[in-house]
Amino acid sequence: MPFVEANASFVAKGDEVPALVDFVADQGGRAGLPETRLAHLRIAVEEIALNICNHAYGGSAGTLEIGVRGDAERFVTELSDEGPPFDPSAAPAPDVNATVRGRPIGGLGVLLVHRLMDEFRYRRDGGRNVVTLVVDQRQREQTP
Amino acid sequence: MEIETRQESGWTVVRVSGRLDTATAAEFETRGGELVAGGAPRLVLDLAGLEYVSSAGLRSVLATAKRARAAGGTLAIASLQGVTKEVFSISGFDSILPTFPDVESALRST
Repeated sequence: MPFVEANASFVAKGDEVPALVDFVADQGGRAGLPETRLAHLRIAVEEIALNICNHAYGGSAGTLEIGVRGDAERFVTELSDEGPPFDPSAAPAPDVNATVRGRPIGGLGVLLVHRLMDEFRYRRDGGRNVVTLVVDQRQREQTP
Repeated sequence: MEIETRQESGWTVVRVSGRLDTATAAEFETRGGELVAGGAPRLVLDLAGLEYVSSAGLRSVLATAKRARAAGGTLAIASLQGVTKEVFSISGFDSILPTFPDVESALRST
């Protein structure tokens, strides 16, 4: 089973997010993640990266660092920025029972990350926000 | 992402394939807006070929649904499968938008 480890740095701009998602998915594919889990990972990385691009640097330039490591059983992605402390994993969930008319646009990204990833963690580390996303096939198999 | 449209039984069937995400959501919303403005506010989205949808994609679907509704029409969802179905279910979009197992049953629903 191939073990993959790679890092990349992107400008924290919405336009860069598709390339960043492709980078993570390419590595995940190389590690041997199945298509369904690659799609889960693409969604989760997009949601977190867009959050960082929209909020971390308050309109000024900044970078978004990506690190991936793992294999087909357990694949870990870390996204980090140098913005003010912000924990997306603790953001409130949207009301998914609202009607079309009453529904606010947005707020769903974090909910998707919680449900599609097997682990979703945040830590503040040396002036950086670090979000960890884990695809873990063993945990998934245990969940009905 | 690819978008193909066809007319059937007074509906516009919009077949969306590939990925509906931050890279493609704006294009989808523009196309949806054109269809509604062009006098076709009864839309069925055929998602059989959609690999996945992210929250940016969901927002573009919701914006199009609101537009269709404001024009006196509707937007229905057909043929959810795989990760697309999973995301619609998690987000509750499969209960806020009319959802059908396939295009034929959407067309029959009137």
